[in-house]
Amino acid sequence: MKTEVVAIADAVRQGQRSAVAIVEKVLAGIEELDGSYNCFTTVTVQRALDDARRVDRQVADGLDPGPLAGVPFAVKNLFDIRGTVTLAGSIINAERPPASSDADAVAALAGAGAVLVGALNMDEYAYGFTTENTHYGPCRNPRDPNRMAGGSSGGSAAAVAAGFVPLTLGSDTNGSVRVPAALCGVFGLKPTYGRLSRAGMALFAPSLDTVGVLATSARDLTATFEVVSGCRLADQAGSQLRIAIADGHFSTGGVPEVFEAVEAAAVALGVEWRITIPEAARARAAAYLITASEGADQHLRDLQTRPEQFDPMTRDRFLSGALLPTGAYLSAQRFRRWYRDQVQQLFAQVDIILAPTTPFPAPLIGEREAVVGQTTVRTQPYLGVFTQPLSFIGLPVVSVPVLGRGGLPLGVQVVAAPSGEAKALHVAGLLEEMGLTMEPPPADRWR
Amino acid sequence: VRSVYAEVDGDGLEAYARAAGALAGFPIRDEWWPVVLSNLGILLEQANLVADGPGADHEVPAPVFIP
Repeated sequence: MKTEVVAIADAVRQGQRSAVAIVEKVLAGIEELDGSYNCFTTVTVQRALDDARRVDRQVADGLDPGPLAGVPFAVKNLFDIRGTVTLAGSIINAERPPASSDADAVAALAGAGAVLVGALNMDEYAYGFTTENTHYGPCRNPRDPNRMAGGSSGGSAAAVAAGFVPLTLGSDTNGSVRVPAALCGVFGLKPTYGRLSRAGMALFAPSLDTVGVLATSARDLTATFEVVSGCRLADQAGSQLRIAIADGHFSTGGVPEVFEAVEAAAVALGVEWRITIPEAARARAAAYLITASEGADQHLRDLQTRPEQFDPMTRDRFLSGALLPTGAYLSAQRFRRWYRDQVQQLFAQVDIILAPTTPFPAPLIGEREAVVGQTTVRTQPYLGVFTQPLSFIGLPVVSVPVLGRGGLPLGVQVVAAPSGEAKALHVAGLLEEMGLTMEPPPADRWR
Repeated sequence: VRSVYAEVDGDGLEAYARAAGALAGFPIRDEWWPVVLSNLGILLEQANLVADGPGADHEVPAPVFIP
C-alpha cells in the first residue's frame, strides 16, 4: 500500500531525509506551478521553513518530532493559521485581524511534526461544490485544468492531486471533502460528526460541519486521522465485515460509469448484497433546508450591511436561506430524527455501505447544467446528490478514487456507522491493495 | 399529503419574499431578485417534500437536561 505521509515521516525521523530539503522542494513546486491550478491563497513560506528547521534540529538532537515529522501539508483557508487572516473564501473576512492561534486540527498536525505550507482556495464560506470563487478565481482540476476541482474544499483536493503536498485538511458539510476528492482523484475522509475538534474553523452550517482529511492513500488518511483525533484505529476494524451496495436513491440519477465504479468495487470485495437507505432523497432535501437556514444565520449582519461584497453565487443562496420560513427548518430537523433512527437500525445488519460519490465526473469550469439520462440538472447543487443524505446524520465516509471509463476520476463512498472510521478506512485500504483505485498523483515534489 | 407551501413559484412567493426581505433589512437589488426567488422556490419545494414525508411527529432535538 502506498504511504507517502508515513514514508516521509519515517525517513525524516530516521535522519535519512531533511525536513528543510523537503519543504524547500514543495515551496518551489508551488511557486512554479500553482499559477496553473490556483490551489493556494496563501503560502506560509517563513513558517514552513522555521517549522522544518525545528524538526531537523529535533532529529539531530535525538528527539522524536512526532509521527508526521517533516510531512508538508496545507489547509482550506477556513482554518485559523496563527498570524494569517482566515478568509473562508471571502473578501469580507479579509478585513479581519490575523488569527492569534492555530485551529485545533492545524495545531494537532503541527504538534506531530507536520509542516504547514499554506492555505487553500475554496467556495466562499464553503457554500458550493465547485470552487469557482469569484474573488480568488476558480480552482482548476489537475487531472484536466479545464474542469472544476469540485468543492467546497477544491483547493484541498487539487493541491494533493497536483502533487504539491501529500496531505491537506478540508471541511465537509454536505460533501465538501468527498466531492472534490472524487473529482480530483484523491482519497477523502469525512469523519463522524463531532469526532474532530472544529475549534478555530470557520463554520458554515454548524449542525453538519466536520473537519476532513485528503491524501493519496487510505493509510495516510488513517495516520492523519489518528493524530488529529488522538485515537489509535489499529485493530478496530474487526474481521468479517458485512458489506452491502446502496440501491434505490444511490443507484439512479447519475451517469452509468459512476454506478459501474461501485459495482467494480463490490465485485472486488465479493459483495452482492443490496440494501436500501430509506427516504434518502428526502434526507437530501432536508439537508438542503438545514444548510440554507443555518448558513444564512452565520451572515445575517453582513447580508444587511454589505451584501454586494459577497460572491454573487453565495450571496443569492444565503439571501434565499435567510428568507426561508422557520417551519421548513423545524420540519427538516424532525425528519432528521426519524431518518437517523432508521439508518441506525440499518447498521445493526451491515457494517459498510458502498455508494457513488458524485453523479458524474468533473464538469467543465462554468458549466451550469448537466444532463443525466433524460433530465437536465443544475450542476452545482446536484454534485451533492449522493453525499448529502449521508452527512445529514453525521456518518463517517471515505471517498475512494477510481478511474472512470471516460478517463476522469470518480469516487466510491465507503460508508460506516457513527464512529466507524476504522472500518471505512480498512475497506478503502482493501480496494487500494486490490489495485482498484486511481494511480496517485506525481510525488516528485516531495520525494 | 401535507405540503405546506402552496405557491412556490408565483406572485405569492414574491410578495412573501419581498416583505420578509424588507422586514429583515436586506438591501436586495432588483437584479438579484430573480435568482433569490428561484432559489427560494426550490427551497420551498424541498420543504414540501420533507413535510410530505415521515417524521412529522418526532421531536426537534432539544438541548435540555433530563432529570
